[in-house]
Amino acid sequence: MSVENSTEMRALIAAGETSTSFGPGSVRGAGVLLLLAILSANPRRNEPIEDAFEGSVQNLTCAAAF
Amino acid sequence: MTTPHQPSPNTVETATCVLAGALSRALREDDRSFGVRHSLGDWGDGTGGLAALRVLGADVLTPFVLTGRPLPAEDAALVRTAVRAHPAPRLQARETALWGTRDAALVDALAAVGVDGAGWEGLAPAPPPNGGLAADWLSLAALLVPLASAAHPFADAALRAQLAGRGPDLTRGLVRSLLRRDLLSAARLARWIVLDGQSGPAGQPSRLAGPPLLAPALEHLEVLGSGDPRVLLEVAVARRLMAR
Repeated sequence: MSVENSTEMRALIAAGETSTSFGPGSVRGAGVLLLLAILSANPRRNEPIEDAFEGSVQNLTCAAAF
Repeated sequence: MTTPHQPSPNTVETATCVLAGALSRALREDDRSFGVRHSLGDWGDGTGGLAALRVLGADVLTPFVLTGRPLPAEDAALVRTAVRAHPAPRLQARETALWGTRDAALVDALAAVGVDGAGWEGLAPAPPPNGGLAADWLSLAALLVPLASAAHPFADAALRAQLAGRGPDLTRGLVRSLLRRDLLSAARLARWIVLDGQSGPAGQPSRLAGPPLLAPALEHLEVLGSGDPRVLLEVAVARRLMAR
């Protein structure tokens, strides 16, 4: 039995929750949130922000969620 | 879609993914012939393949335990070889307890398919009875994630009894893992939720199918986790448990 295999096996068995989050609040999601903040600063009058820019904000939100 | 991690080739993790993929396919398709040694291919004769067997633990036997397939003698021998080749560590109490619970589940699963695994060389000693599971949902979820291979119909009755009434806590853990895109943890917690839903207050089987979140969560995990065989294995086991 190689030491490398044994060490890797024990690490895989003991692995719990990942320490990296890919959720909306993560670094990866920060770009989308920043874009949303920029877009939301200039909505058209009387137009819901979700529908602004031909629905692109809504599309981005869905993309971030899924 | 997120693919947070891809295993490197020629590692135990790769062998684990190969075997997990074969296990999940066997669980989804009843008519598919399945053998552990055959599924490992070239990995079967190396320590990497044996280590993969240890990583998946009792889950290696799920196509036999949950579908009624007979366990080939060569596969039972392979599991025993893996246990002997990769004995449980006995240095750290926390790791020993984790391995003890996992190995107890392996012995239970072996017994379910007619193999007496008690006393096999390399198995961890049975974990001592503890004073109860973590009171808060976050610690409970963190505790149960690495113990997912023990979440099967023959799971330790004492553990299942302690989990009774903790469904909301398990669901909170599932939602948190989904939000963090930690798909493997989410799938493992979904499996515990299914098992919890099948136990009544006194550990008796009930017809509860889990919270309303469970079915869409499993579908979600199948789609987003399609690139990770270990996620698909957990989901396949959960679905099999739900169908029982």
